[in-house]
Amino acid sequence: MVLNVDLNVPPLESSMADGASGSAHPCISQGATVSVNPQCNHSTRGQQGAVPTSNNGLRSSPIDVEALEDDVEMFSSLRGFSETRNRARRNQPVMVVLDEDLETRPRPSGVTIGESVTTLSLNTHAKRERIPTNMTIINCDLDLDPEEENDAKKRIVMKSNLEPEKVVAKEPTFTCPVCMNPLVEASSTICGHIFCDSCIKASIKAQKKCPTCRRKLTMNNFHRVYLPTID
Amino acid sequence: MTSSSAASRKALSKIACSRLQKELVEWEVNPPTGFKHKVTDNLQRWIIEVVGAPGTLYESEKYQLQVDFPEHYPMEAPQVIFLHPAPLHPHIYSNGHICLDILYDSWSPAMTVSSVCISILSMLSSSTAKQRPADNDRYVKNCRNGRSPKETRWWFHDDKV
Ligand SMILES: [Zn+2]
Ligand SMILES: [Zn+2]
Repeated sequence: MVLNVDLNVPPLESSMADGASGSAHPCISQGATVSVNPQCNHSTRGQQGAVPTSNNGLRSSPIDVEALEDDVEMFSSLRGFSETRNRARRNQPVMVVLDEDLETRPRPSGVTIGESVTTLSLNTHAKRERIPTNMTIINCDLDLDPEEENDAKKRIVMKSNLEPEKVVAKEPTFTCPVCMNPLVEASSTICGHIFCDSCIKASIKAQKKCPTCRRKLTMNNFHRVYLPTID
Repeated sequence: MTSSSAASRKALSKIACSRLQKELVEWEVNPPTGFKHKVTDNLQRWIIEVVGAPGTLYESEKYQLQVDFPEHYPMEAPQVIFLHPAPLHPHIYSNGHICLDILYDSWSPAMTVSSVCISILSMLSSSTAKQRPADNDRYVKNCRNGRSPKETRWWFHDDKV
């Protein structure tokens, strides 16, 4: 069985296993002239399956495309990634900002309240059973019904740090995963991955697939995007 | 070295240079655990020391990877081999060639030296037997003229083949 070999090198193995006789096998290479299934992993090339495969080396958990994308980004541009992350975190409904804007902003963009009071009061409203303790806050605004929300609103200590947050916000710079420079003429693929225009062009020319998720792409499968700026 | 002929033929493109410099800086700030880049003035060939991860068959063993970058890196994969002696591993040939898909067909320009290193260490760490690939001798013989592993048609088969 495959199990005793490597779970991980295994892009190979996992793909083989699918193949059928999932057995542990060493990879072999043929002379350059052999034309059978060139390259490792042939069997999954181009499909989603190929992704786990290749990233498998990094992580042994196969098939989570999302995670894979993260991997790729993370490794390719730590800085860009963490910036993106932080930003994303800020935009998630992680912390509830309760202020007069609330009604017009059903999904308050998170601003750190950094107050234990917040946590506590939300906690009482959250459905405990499905919320891991350290994630309580994250789910809170999904779980609160409007009434509870109001209730919570009353309890939450208003913090004025909404203002500072806005003031402090600075222009985010995103790094292209291919050239690792700030994006130049940002372009999105149809799979939603963003690169410099010239980088995605070169990548498609070289590989006909998305550098981040490996989706098959042609020269028509990407377009410029115009990211908002902070004024 | 089996490798050099093929890999270092052409100088790095401007784009490749710039990207490698970024990678180097990033590496210095945040090197992958278990790896040490041996500083040289050759941007096109990196020699990287890897130490087997604790709790694995290769614990504390030291090996060296040689990474050669093609002119059009990262559009093309780097060539990565183990310098002699290569670790005993079911996917590593005695000439240092590594059977790992991301080094060949599954390469993506969004991958980096660092991510490749992590893949390789992960491959080592998951090994349960210190042994050569079954076809080691045949393969190594075929490579005697100094062929790069990138010219190899890698494929995988199961035991019955
Ligand atoms: Zn770019
Ligand atoms: Zn994509």
